[in-house]
Amino acid sequence: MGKYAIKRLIQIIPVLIIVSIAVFSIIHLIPGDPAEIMAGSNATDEQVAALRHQYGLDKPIWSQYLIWLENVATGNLGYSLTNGFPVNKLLLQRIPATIELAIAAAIIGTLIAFPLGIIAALKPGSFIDFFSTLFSALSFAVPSFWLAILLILLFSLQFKLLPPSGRPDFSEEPIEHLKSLIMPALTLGIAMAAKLTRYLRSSMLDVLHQDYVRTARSKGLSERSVVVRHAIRNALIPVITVFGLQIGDLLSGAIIVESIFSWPGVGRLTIQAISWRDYSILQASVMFIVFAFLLVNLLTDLTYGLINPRIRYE
Amino acid sequence: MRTKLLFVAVLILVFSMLVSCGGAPAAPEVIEKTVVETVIVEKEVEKVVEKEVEVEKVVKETVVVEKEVVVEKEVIVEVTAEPAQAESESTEPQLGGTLNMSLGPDFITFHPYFDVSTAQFKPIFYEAPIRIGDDGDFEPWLAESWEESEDGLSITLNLRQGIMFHNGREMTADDVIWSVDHARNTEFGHHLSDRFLLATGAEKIDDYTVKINYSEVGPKLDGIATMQIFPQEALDDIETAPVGTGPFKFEEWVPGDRLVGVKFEDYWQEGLPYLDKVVIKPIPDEQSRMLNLMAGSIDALRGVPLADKTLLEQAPDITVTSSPAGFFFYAFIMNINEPPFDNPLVRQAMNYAIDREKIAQTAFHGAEVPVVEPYPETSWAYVSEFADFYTYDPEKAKELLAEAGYPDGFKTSMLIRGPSGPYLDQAQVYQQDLAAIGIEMELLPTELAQYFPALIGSEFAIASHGTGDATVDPSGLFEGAACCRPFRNFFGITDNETWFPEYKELIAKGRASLDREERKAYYHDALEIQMEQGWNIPTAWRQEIFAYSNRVHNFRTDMGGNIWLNETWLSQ
Repeated sequence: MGKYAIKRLIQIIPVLIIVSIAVFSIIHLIPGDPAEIMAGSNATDEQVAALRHQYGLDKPIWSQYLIWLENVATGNLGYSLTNGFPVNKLLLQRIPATIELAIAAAIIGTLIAFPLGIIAALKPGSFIDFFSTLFSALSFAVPSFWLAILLILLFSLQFKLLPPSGRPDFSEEPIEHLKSLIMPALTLGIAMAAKLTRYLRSSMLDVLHQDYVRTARSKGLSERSVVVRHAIRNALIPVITVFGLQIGDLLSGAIIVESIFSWPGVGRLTIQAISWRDYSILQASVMFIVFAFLLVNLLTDLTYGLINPRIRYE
Repeated sequence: MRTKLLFVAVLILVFSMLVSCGGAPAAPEVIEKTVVETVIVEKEVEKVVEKEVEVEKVVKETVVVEKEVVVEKEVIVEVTAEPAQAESESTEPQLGGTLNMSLGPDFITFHPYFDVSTAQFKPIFYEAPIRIGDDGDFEPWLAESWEESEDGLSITLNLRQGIMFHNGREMTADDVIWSVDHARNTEFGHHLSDRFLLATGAEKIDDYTVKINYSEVGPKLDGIATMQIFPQEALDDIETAPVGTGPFKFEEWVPGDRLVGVKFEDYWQEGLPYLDKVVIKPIPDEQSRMLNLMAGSIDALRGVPLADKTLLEQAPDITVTSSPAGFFFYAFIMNINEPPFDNPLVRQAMNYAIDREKIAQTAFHGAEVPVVEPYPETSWAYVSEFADFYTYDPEKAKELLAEAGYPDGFKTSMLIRGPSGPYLDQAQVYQQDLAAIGIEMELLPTELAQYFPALIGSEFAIASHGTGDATVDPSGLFEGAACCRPFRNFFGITDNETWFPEYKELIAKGRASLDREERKAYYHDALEIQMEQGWNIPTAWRQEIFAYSNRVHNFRTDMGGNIWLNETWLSQ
């Protein structure tokens, strides 16, 4: 397994290089460039040309790419085109916020989905089953921007319990920091739980009708042992795939939720970089998203082996 | 089954309660308390007592119920006084406090010579030698006075003494000279260089007197009012760490999270600012920004959505205000090289076909003021007879179209500034107006990054645009958005137009004259040509809308929508 993991990690490098070329080409192909946006509608051609020169956009695209690659190899992701802020620093500020939100949302999602999905599958047609179906349908149907606004109305305006936006420093205001995390995490967590619940329920229902579950029952094992040791483990494989993809989504930035709660994550940074065509920030944040996806994918694959020992990686 | 139905009913109830929680807060807060419980009496009684006091209304009502049991219910209705009135009485500024505010999206750069979307923060950290006053004219600021030379080729600024930069150094004539050179520098593509095209440099008379020289006579003060003075030694980091002479000193910027300024103890205005700290938080989502204000997590904001202005105005503890009109207006602009807009009759028809009142009421939700003549009444160049040069007259528009050879209308497409928002909204209303006279117009909402290149390259027939050149001097209108400088002429106007040479000459004369009455006459004639030719259709003034809690006092915004917090204070 260790060898396999290392092999996969090494494979990530060429993938990242290929992706970086693709991303670099695509973002330079989108119409509009940062010099024109920065200069605005009143600009002279000279002003735009001056900005293009300053941003290094007057060089051929392959040369710009090689400069970027050379910088990345030395650990420098470049500087924001619009204000010269170091991209390394900018990303390092945003990544923790994104990871924190993703983890919190995943915890909330799991805490809701596991009991709900499993019990719903164990007692099909029951009240809990009905509730889980209703919960999933509602959560699927409710757009996250609406749920987010609703939560702010309820917890910030009505009950005045939680701050409507921001992310205070954990070191200075730990309680406020955690309070500010609750609503964005809940918004994302509920959406995640909706999907997980459905997958878990159907996967469990499928497994519970398998022969080996019947065998386990006929051996006289307790129901608890049947469910926990035999059913859940086998039902988890498809669920973990979905879970992994969702974590990947969360790491790539929950743009809407980050905007509404003014959460300083990678998603918001990416959007801002797109609207200003800030190529250096955009390239770096997209590369981070790709890397996060690849890493989560690898972790998902490794988890299969842990859950089901029959899955072996060479 | 019954349990399920019951459950669904409960769920719907909870859901509707959640939704009802989201309503706007009602004006005065009403608190109802049931005080007295059940009393049994021997016979039917009916009694109503009403008593009113200033802030408390007591209503006693008696309700007769079966079995001669009377429930006497006392309802005390406490009407809280409106805080706006209560607070407006206390006018003595209070020291201290932190003002939390949001200008919308995150900052792009703090370099003061770039006018990007969040540039309204500038007066918090930076100041210029003069500023635009509330009456729409210039007033002294870092310079206590100024004189223009008789030949109009130079202007002398008399700077105040003892003005300190945030880095602890005194501001002198040398800093103004350096700022003029920096403003003239076109190598870094900033926005101020336009206004210093004719400046040849500045010279020092003494430490507090500086003379700026120009190669030609022309308007100067708009440039000087936007030339924020900052120390040369701060240039390297100015994009991320503002240093100026403003009332607040930069403390930190955490991109995406906050910009913090603290009271500048050596500020040149004695006793100011009142606030200890200003924290500007980027909250890109408009709805969320409003909710933050209502929840009290910010005290002020810029960018109230037009549709929500009325809602916020109804909130009891919030004041909504707009920056004074006069700098920017929404408009539809035509490229006169693109048929059929090459025909002046068609352009005039387009002007008569627009129902500005409907646009103001529907697209702008009554929050913006319709405008025909692109000057505010406060401008000395305002011509009252042009205020209704074009009125809504679809019949006349049809006649003009027929005369131009388009009796059945035509098809066209409109470039829209931004994928959504007011530019699209006004275009949708106009689209209906045009359909009524047979013109079929396709709307092309365009992201800004693609919009500007298309606009500058004149790759459009008609566009829904925002214009005005943010100058007090009337020349800005002509030399900026309306026409004439070759680089901004995205309207496709050339000397082939018979009227254009005369138009240009009038503008040049207006610029070169030193006599205001004479200038007014030139601009009058130029504006008349512009309106007759009709390539630029103003629809409504574009004002920045701000909202702030009633704790905030003396929150000043100028015509450019800039925020001045020198005299702002908070009720503690």
